[in-house]
Amino acid sequence: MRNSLIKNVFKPLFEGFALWRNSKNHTSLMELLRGRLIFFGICSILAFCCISYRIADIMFLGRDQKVSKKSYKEWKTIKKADILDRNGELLATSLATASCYAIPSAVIDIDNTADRLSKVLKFKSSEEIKKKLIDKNKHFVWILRHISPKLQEKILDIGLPGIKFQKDYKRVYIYGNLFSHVLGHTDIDGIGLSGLEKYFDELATKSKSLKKLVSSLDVRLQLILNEELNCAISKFNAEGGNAILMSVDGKILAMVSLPDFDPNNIKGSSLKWMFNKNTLGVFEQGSVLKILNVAIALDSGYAKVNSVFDASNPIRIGKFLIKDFKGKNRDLTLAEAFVFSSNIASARIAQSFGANVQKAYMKKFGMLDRTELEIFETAYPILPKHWGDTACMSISYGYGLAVTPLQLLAAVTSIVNGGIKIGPTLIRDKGPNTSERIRVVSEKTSAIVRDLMRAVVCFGTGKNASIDGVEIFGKTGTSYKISGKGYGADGNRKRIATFLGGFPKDNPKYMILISLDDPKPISETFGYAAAGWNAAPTAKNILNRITPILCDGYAPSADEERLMVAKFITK
Amino acid sequence: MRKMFIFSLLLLVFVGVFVSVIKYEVVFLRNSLKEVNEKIERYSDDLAVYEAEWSYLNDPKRLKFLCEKYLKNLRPTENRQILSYDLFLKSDVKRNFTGNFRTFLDEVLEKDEGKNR
Repeated sequence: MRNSLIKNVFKPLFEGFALWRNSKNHTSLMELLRGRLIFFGICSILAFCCISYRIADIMFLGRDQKVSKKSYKEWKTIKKADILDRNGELLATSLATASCYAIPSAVIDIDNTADRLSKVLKFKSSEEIKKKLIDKNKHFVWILRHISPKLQEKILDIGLPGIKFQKDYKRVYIYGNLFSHVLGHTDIDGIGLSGLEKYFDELATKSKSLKKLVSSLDVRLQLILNEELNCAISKFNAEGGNAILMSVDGKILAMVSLPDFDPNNIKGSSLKWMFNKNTLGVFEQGSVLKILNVAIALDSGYAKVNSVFDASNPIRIGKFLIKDFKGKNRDLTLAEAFVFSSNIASARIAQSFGANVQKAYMKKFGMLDRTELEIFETAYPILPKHWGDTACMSISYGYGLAVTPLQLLAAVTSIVNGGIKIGPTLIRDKGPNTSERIRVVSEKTSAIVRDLMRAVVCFGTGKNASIDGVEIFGKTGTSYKISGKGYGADGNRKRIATFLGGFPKDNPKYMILISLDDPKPISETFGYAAAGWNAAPTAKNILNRITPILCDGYAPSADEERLMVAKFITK
Repeated sequence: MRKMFIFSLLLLVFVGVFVSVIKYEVVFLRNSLKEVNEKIERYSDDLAVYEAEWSYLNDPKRLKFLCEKYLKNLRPTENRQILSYDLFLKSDVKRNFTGNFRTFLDEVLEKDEGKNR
């Protein structure tokens, strides 16, 4: 290159200069140099073009900036965004930690490294670390993930070659067990495995700009439900319990399932604890299904509030006997049948409209399909194999159709909110789908059902759920759990006690469902274990604490309401 | 021709210097941006820790415990203490309302003032 430069450029230049000095013929000299000048000119133009292109590249196309933006984006995706409650309180966040790893090929003395590391990491044995370091062909092996800054400093102080740290993010759940079933949990890399965490991951892959997930949950309400449910479980010696608080437009404000688990420390949690009873617990709900039964009867026009049904004797269909718990043994109006929770009268009501009408309405209420929710742990209902007259009668009082508590609450909410179907959601800013406004019952039916439910709280089995100052409406239900092929022997049956209600009656805003899994009779309940004696008082305790947060004013006295609902009841 | 040659040469030198300056400016800016991004990341991480700490401090369970310990004169709000505006307009409360509610805080402040005097 150098030689050719001298030979082709400098030598002719000097030769030309010498020729010019020795010769007076300038014209021939100019001709000699012209070629070289053109060559230089072309080179200059080419260089100029290259430089201009590079300037334009940097100034206008901005490729360098793009590179830096890309690296910034990459960093952002590594850190998982926060989950907040509806008031902006932090529920789950990612905190920066360090994770310790080793490069086995760079470790000089394996025994020494393992011994010294095990002394610092007291919960890791020397042998365990040695096993990780033994393969010299490996270039990367984790020693311990998510270590504290203190521990990191200790390891750095030892100064072991081949032992390094990488920045990592650990998912932290501020309230521990409180939101375990709703938020779900992640694996060690922060990938959502259940609950909102899993939903969040799917959402993040669709929308890269997702910064925070604002849920519809409320820390205060969740804590109240959790505390009161825990108290009720220990008081009635129940196996577990679950509760949901939802606004009438379907926003879930609190959802508790007990027993629960700590998503911060998933190791050692049993599957039983991780089971969300609200969305996965499919069971026969008992008398709370009578809400749907009267709604169907009233809306379809097959019965009126004062229609009379024979409840004087039990009904026998084949091997089944339908009887009442503390029956009145007389004719009952539809209102009385509902308030006194008569199974016989409910079956008679169902007989009046038949299986086809019942099935069509149940489909409209969403009782035959899986409830759509952001979390993936939702179960399908169990439907009767043959939906004939027998199934129709048993479904009327809550047997033969097994659904999840959330599914039932969504169906009842759709009835009492004025008759518009709602879809439950855990996201605060998810508005109702106005283009798909599905009416399930008329407004008139909706108002009557609310009045009847109010009567249950004033005179019926829900008396223990009544609170001062707020018009609570509700219905209790006690169902037997299936054990083996049947419901178990008399006296040894396991129950599920449920209270489902809402408030305020005239303009309902919130709905609540409380279930206790196998509550036991205690002396305070005079040996009874029905929902009116355990689930209803639990609801009362919860309502007394949540209504000052949720309600915007004191309602008329209970006496005034008693006069109002008395028109339905013949005492 | 000579003028053209000199002009091209000067332009080349100028452009060379200009590109060099721009290049170093870009390198400098890139490093600054990297530093800023690292700072943002660090502050963001610190902020996440502070937010988590703040949430722990505002845990309703902890607040309840502190209230029970230090605010013995206070108790949870009951429904009867909250009156809807419609009912307020209808009720006797409006007629008797003088517009001068004495709050618990007023009483405490007055007591403190009395002590200070």
